[in-house]
Amino acid sequence: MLRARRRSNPLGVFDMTPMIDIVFQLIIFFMFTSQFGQISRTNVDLPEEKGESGEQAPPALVIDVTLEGAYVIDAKPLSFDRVLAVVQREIDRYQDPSLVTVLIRPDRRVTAGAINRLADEFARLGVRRWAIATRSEGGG
Amino acid sequence: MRRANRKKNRRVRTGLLGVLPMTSMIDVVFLLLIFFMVTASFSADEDQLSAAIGADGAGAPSTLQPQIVRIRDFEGVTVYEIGAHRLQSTQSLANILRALPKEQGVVFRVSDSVPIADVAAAMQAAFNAGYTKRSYVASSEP
Repeated sequence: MLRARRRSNPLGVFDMTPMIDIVFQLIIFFMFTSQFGQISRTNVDLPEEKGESGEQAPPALVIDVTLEGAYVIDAKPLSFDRVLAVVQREIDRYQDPSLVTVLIRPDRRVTAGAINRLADEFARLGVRRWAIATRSEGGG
Repeated sequence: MRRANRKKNRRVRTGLLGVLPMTSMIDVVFLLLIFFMVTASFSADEDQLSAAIGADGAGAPSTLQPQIVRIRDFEGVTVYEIGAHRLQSTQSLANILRALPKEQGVVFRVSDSVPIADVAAAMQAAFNAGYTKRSYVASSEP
């Protein structure tokens, strides 16, 4: 009789531990993958400006420009022609160059020549929306 | 004897909820804390300054044209030229821009030899002065 009562109360011993473990593992996985976009950006010394306040739409493409004037996309240094090929791919994906937004992350000491080269090609390709990344003074 | 057994069983049954194993959850919570502390140092706060890209030759002088700011290198120093003014500080540039009509926006004509930090400073000055339309033109001028 007693044994039967003990068996009929299985909810009291339902082990939640593995489920909680898996849920936390999933949370960690999603947080890691959401951070990859940030981590894959090259560590460049951005211009120290406050920037525009408010929410900005996420860019279609992020191009880092290093102090040496090299172009880096997704942490991979690319030649100028390869950069243009990537921009063209984005234009094809959006099917309208005016919808493509490019974020340039330049080293603050690099001369504007490296940016002007991109600007000339963007104008030729019809890409008109771009922004320069800045770092808040005293931040990061 | 039977009464003693019943008492014991009741204690075992009521004790089942009291021994919910928290150890693994606490372990994972600490892992999460460590994760947040590590990633917090990865991502510095970034913002951005946007500008439309204009073709070279944009901004010929006219009363209906936007304000044109030439940013170029003059004897090793970055200067901002607007109209007849040649300025060395973005504060002075912001003061002049603030006094001008803003509807048509501002065009930055940027020479190759200027450090990008000075360009960003001029763009920030225009933003602070209340210009919503900002264009960037690569200039072939020295």
